Amino acid sequence: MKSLSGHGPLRAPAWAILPSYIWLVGFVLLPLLIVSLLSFVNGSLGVGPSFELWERVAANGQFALTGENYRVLFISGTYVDAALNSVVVATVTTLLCLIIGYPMAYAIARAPLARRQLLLILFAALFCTSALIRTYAWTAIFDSVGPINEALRALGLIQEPLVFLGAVPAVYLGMVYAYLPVMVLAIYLSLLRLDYSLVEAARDLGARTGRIFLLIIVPISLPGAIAGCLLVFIPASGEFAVPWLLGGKGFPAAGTAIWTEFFGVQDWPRAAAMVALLLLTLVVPTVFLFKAALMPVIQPTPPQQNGPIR
Amino acid sequence: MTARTAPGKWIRIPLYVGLGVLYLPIIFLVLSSFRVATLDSASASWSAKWYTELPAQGQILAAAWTSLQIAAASATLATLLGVLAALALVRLTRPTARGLLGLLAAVPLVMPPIVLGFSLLMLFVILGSVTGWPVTRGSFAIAFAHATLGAAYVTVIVAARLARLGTTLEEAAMDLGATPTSAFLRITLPNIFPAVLLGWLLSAFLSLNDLVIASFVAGQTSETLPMVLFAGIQAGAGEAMKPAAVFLVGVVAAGAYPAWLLLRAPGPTRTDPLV
Repeated sequence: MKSLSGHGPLRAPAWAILPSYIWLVGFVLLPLLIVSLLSFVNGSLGVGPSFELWERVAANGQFALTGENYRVLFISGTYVDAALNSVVVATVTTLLCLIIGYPMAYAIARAPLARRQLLLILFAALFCTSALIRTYAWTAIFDSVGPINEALRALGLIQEPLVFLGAVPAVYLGMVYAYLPVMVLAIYLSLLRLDYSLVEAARDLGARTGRIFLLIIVPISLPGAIAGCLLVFIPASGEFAVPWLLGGKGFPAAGTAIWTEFFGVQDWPRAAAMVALLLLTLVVPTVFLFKAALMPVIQPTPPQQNGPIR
Repeated sequence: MTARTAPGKWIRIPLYVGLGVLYLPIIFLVLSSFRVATLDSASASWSAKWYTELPAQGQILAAAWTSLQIAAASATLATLLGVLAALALVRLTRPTARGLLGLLAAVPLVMPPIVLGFSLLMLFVILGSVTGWPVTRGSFAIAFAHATLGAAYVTVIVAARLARLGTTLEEAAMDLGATPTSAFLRITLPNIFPAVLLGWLLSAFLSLNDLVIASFVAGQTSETLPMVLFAGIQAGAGEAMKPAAVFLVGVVAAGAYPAWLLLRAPGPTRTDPLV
């Protein structure tokens, strides 16, 4: 509806979009293109952490791109195995986070406003605290002088401290622990749109809890659940700190493989190929999915329809 | 009636158990930073040793200061970029331009930090060799990289607030004679301000706690606190690094209180809370 004096809603001036585009193209899109390009550069030119890499590439006229880096990755298979293992870990992590996080998010959404805000802050604070510290905190528990060992020793059950870390379950535990807050927050935000009187009406009309859940609550929270799954799955498939600290150096993971290739072997083009592979198989397809899931979360149904498009 | 309200009650159990489990390691971390093991690590005793030795470890203090500076700078840049992007995202009339912006803004949210860090390093290296800047990447590069991540979060938070705010109040103000500029400054801005501040806090915390992105883009000249912490854990000196971890946890905890107050700031009407 046009208001009485003819004022439409405030529109952003056209230039307002420019800084955003410059930033996103310059700092997100362009770097990814550079990585993709670098992944086709002959590896022998790029060994070593060198500023002159590109100058050398240009000087040798070797913009003749090769698929050598990818070929080696697939032939040796170590990285492909690590990446596949990462995908498995990320998948299990995502499902566990969804199952554990859903009831938690629902409980927050059902809490009275004041407590809801407090709970939200508690989860946001966890989200802000890095995986490094939270993972390291786990090692403090399982430490040789940590509470578990001290308790067992005090009870006289053990003489030497037990070593808990290095096991595969520790990685899964750490991953779920690291990514649960994101999942809870994403589902919670979508559950905010749930009008609880719908649930009460359905119950008054005799619907069972299971039906109410499937027909009312799930559809409302689906965008949040999808967004949550993607916000867990993609970063988890490239996770570095958790497998590195809890899984030991031998634990195959894409994140730790890229880290080693870059900081250890210092083969930038090979590392770029690893990053590009991760990007192409996981990030690009899911970003499109994610956007579809994110939009309803970003733009919850506005209180009223906007004015006419002018 | 009691039977009907029952599901609302038992659903709290997983929430509080989950919260307890999530916070337990952090509480233990803080406690264990006051535990010092004997040489054979057969037992431990209470001591503030790691804290009293801190001034001697200038590296940790210097890194903490660097981290705080980077966090403040990157959060401020992220907030500027994010608010503009949110305004464009919610208030732009062209659906294609909006859709593309939303798509691009979603990328840093989901990208694994290792991809973001590596790709931004490549950008800085090329920028350095083509334009001569940045020569050494250091804190500037870390701040820019963190701003890229933070801006995506600010965009989401502020866009959600803008969408909820709607346009009724602005239109009313303009009907009553306000210019678009004053309607924006006196109606829109105060209403999205809590969300903007929350976005700033979130970006600052994310920056402060980031290890992977900073490690990639830092170069030789700058070291952030998580990098020192990680190096310490790597070298097996994690015990002595515990005050650094506690410091990072403490900053987030200290920031949680103003964030909570911001969340409680009333919206345009009393029934429209921020979240």
